[in-house]
Amino acid sequence: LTEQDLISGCIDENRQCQHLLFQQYAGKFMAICLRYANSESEAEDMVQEGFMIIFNKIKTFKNLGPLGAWMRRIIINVALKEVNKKKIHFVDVTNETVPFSQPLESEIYSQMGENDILKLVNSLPQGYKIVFTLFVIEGFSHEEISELIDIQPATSRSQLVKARKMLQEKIIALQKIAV
Amino acid sequence: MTNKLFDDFIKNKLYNIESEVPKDLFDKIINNKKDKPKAIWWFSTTFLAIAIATIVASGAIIYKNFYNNKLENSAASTINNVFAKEETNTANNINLVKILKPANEVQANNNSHANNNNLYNSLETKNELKIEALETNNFNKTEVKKQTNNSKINKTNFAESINSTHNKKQVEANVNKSFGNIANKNLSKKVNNKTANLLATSSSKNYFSTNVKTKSIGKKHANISEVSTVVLQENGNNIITKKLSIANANISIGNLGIAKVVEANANNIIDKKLLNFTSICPSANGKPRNDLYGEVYFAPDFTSKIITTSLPISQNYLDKKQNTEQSMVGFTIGARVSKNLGEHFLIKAGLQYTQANEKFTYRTENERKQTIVINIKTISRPGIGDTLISDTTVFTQIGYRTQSNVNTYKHFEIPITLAYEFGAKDSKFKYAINGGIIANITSWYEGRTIDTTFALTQIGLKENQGFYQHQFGISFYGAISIIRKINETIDVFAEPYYRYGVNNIKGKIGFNQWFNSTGIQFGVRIKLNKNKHL
Repeated sequence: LTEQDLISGCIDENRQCQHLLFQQYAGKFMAICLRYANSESEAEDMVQEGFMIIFNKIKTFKNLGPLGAWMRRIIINVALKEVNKKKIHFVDVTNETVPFSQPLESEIYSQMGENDILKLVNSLPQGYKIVFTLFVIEGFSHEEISELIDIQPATSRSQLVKARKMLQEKIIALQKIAV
Repeated sequence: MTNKLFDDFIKNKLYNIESEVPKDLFDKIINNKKDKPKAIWWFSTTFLAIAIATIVASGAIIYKNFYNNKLENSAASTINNVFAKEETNTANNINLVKILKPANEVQANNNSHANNNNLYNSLETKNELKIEALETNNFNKTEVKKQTNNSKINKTNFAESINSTHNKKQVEANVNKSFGNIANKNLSKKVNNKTANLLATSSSKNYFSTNVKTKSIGKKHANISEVSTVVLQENGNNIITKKLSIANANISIGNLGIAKVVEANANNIIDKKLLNFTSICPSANGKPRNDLYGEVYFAPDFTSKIITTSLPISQNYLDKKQNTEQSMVGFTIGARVSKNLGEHFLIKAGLQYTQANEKFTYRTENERKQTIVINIKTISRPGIGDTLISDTTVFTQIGYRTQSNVNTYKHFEIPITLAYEFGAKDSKFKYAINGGIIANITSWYEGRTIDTTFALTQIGLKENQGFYQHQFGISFYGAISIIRKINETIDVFAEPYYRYGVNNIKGKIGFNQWFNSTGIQFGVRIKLNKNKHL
């Protein structure tokens, strides 16, 4: 099945096509939602809601870009909607450059698996984690982030700096334990 | 490593990472994704249409009512002004006579058996109207029977005619002018001038009574009075016969007396509603009620929810669902118009917003941690050897996750009720009993509940995702009102009520739930047609 066939099948509400689409993307979307959710069940809710919107709205997909990116954006929007409901308090700090406490070697990173990194990212405070995820992984600019989660761009920048620093410290700490 | 490299590294690692997905997630999605039943749209559309029709019909009735009142008041006001002017000019010899007779028995009594000499038809319109002037001496009491269907036209023309009556020529001119606009081909009129009786016949079955106010003025010749009598008589759609008794041409007069039609009430007050049937025959209780109110109200609602099912759904599930949802105080806010139907009944219709709230609390077992502690002791006893004692203890810790939120059920509704109002007319307090239906025209829900697998699910209808599929419903409404008069225009009221819902929310898995509610409406009602009576 081509992607276009899959889309057509989903528009016709063909259960098999919907299932194929789900299988293809659910794992990725679950991973995305886990980065925004506080728990696995919350992430499940996000994925569920996101797929329901996708199945309902797929007829409006206009092939202007990849289907995966369109769906990913929906999932992120759903996740951010939940995030906004929680009214996370972002601590506003000055836009200062936070230097690394200690330079990191590339070897340290290369030894880390995806799940290790994911765990470390998830261990960040909620505000840091969301901004870091949106900026680093999803590729949004600070201006876009400020609109998405209703904060100031400066706040987004400062949160990113703090998050990055904290994540690096955690990696160093992990390295020390490993040694 | 620079920030850029660090960020790229993280992105590469995490961008396409996949996590494990629960096996039943797809089924949950499909089960929740069902189209909104077409029946709901049908019901909604139908009820919307009914609602619009009701509002339009109410508006038309109200407009008509206002329009009629406006016309009548306008015409009556003109006549009243005319009469007032005439009284100041000509009040020398005034006799008031009350008349109340059936239509076909029109009589005119001449109390004084006047020596009526000349009858001439001095005026004749193109429409064969005859204006007959009756000269009379001592003609000071007349009973006249009048009939009309088109009261407004009669009244207006009559007023116009009288308004400028100061001498004979003017009377004639005005009568011509007045009648010139009226097509009257079947006028039936008999005048017996010698006996001073007037007989007018008509096919109309309607009748009304009037007082005829006759003013006689003697000027230069004390024994001559001039009488002008106006007779309005029905003829199909249009009108009129007019009788005018004026002074003999040989007699020089300055003023012309005019018979006036006044209201038949004890005080001989000129009636503003001259040609209105109900006004001319007022009830013993006074003027009929004609009230139109606008009401705004707010009510806290105390709701209770009932869930039923005819399907083999686990009772355990229904119990669990009810346990997780606890009613909270909701509210209703709305506006309506009410119009009286007779003295005591009022019909009310409007639009209101109702929000029922409930607290959803669901506790699930989130984590179970088991700790096994094994204590091993070695007891050494001389001669026997070592004994190994193993003591195993198991600790189980269960972590629960409590999720709570407020579910809201929001409705736009049309209440249509009938009220019976009682209480002394001038009392500060009135009371009413209300009953009717409340039709739900649109609804939407927000919040969460549990499905039959005890998993959390959204109840909202948005995007067709809702757990509930029915958004149409009807409630029965009963209330008692206590109304406190503030002034002539404004009342405040308190209305304790009970509302019984009928099958207004339907679950997708085959159960029904509805809300019954009690509350008190607090509101203000404003009389829209201030002091206007029929």
